[in-house]
Amino acid sequence: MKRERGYKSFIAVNLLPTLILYAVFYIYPFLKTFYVSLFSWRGLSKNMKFIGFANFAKLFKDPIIWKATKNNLFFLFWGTIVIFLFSLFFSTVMARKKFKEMGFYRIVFFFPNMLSIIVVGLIWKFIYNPSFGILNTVMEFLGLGKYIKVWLGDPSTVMGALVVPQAWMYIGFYMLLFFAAMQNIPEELYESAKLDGAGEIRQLFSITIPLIWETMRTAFVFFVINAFSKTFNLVFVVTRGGPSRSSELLTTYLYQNAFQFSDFGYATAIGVYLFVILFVISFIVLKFTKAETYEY
Amino acid sequence: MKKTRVIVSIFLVLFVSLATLGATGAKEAPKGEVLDILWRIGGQGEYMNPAIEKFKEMYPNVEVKLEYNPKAEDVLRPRLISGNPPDIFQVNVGTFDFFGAIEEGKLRVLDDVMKMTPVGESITIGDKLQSNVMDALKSDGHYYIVSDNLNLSGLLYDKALFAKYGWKVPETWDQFVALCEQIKKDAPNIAPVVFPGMYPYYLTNAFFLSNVASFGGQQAIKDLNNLTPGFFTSAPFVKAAERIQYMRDHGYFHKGLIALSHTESQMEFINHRAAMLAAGSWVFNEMAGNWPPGFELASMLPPTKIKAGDPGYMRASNSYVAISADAKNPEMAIELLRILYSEPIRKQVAKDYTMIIPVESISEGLDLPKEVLSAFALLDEPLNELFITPYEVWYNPFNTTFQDLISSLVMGNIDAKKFSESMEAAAEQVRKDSSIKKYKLY
Repeated sequence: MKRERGYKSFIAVNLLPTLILYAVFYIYPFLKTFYVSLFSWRGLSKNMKFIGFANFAKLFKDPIIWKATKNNLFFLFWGTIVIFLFSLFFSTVMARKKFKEMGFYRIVFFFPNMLSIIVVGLIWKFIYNPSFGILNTVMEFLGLGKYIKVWLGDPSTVMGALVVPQAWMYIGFYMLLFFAAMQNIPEELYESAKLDGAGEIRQLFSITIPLIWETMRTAFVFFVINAFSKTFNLVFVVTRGGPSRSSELLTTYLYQNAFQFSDFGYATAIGVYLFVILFVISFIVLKFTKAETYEY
Repeated sequence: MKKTRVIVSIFLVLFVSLATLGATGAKEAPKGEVLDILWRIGGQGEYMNPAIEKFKEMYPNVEVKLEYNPKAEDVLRPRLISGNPPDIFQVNVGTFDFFGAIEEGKLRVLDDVMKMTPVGESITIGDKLQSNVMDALKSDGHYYIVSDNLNLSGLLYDKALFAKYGWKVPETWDQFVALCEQIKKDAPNIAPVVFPGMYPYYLTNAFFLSNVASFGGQQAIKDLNNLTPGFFTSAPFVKAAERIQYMRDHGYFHKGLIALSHTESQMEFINHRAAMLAAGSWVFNEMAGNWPPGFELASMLPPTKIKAGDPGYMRASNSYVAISADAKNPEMAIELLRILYSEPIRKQVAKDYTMIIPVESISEGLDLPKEVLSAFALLDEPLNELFITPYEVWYNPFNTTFQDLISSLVMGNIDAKKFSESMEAAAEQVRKDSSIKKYKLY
């Protein structure tokens, strides 16, 4: 009993430094955000004026908030679909086909994920460039000239054009995540399924997906977080939220309010709103994707 | 006799020392003093170096702590909040709320500085600097901010390209329209005008506002800055918007410009995919190393005059310098300003960094590259005037709406009428919001 208590104290002492750092640099600023959102604050001095929920009242009447929310949801929906489908496809092919060049493919697919998102943004800005971008040049070469657009300058195409680099960057990461999970599935299961006459598609839906489902659930939560918080850099570099706010996101709008308009109170209210959305969507995703866990 | 000579010598030394001090106005600084300087570094480089060198020469006892930083405002903000600000700073006007800082009591009043003389001169700083530029920086009748650099917005062109096709630099709107038609005819692969669509304020500042001024003079610019009720639906503003609509409808803009950043649009211009670039006097420096051989960069007055002989208008912008209210060494910070505004330093920073201090005779005596001088020389013509747009800093969210609407107008999502009505509505929102402090340009 005494020994067990000593063991627990030892663990607590070891955890304490990390816990203190976590509390000071993560939990405290996090809670402070909720507090600051109730104030009018320029972020230039310690002068803060309590205004209750006025920032939130303004937020719900602000049309840019709804536009930005819609754009974030666009990223969530289309980003998830594109990234999920491609990464699942590539990881399945790699896990099932056992290509000789698998190591090479893994590096090729994962490579964009190793680049800074700033670099990714600039690469795609060049690809989309209306004067010399490779996309329009190739389209023209293929006789698709009439479909050429100013991809990043047209409100109807800008969001779609932004999802592509986002997907290009993350497909490799999720591919490896799924691939690693697939490596743990015993080969006998596939062999038995084959003997029972199951094709590749049937094996995917009846064996692979159910057995890596927990990894997929984690990936879904990552998708939600990425769509809302990891898209900032890309949009900031590539379009700055334009044209005319067509690609504005909650995070870019938050940044603008804080650092351009010196309205830190309102910016933190947007941060709280972002937290609520992330929390609710993540909760829904986890709740509705809960399934029986298979042990093998 | 020997004693008398010693006494005379001592007096002589004292006299000479005092005379020297009188000429420079230098003050004794005790050892251990520190001058803490934070300066934004941009396209014009470390242009404070000459002033700092002079300062060190005059005040060898003062330790200079200098930080150049491209994101100086991000460093400044936490330092202001924690009560440990730099003594003197220059940060980005677009991302640091100078007038908010004044309201928060974070900037030192500089009325006394305006009455001082630059080192070695007899004219006061207030009299030396351009009064219309400086007046726009006042808050409640007091100076808190001074300007250390002035840029002019306008249209840039390549003289060699114009000569090749025989295109003439336009002065009036009609001549401009004729030129754009000529460009379309002579060189279908060259767009008449490009600007960075990601930052629509380039078009606003370099062209649109000059149109407003051409229709309504300096009064229209004052009305715009003061958000005068009804101004945005009045003739000068609506007619200027109709000109942008005309340019859009007649294909004068580069087709892909909405997606272009400032460097991308500048490269389109350099590579002759556009004949005229809406930008300003800073571009020569910003694109240094990229100008191809034979490219003869020049500035034209925005061709917005209704008829020849009308006044021409160019929008001027400037960077802001302030001394912290909590500065530990405001006296030495003021001394640095006195050095910065002195003639030798003004000439040196213009020559070495193309940094133009906004004095009354702005380009007088400056040894500038001809590409930069071509912009400032336009103001030497008696009829041409510069105008300023402090509303951008006073009402930053309003200005952002303005630029969103300009972008929509250029894209064709709205017409000039809708643009003007939306602008009036945005101005009305500011006017009726009692939480926003109102400023006035007289």
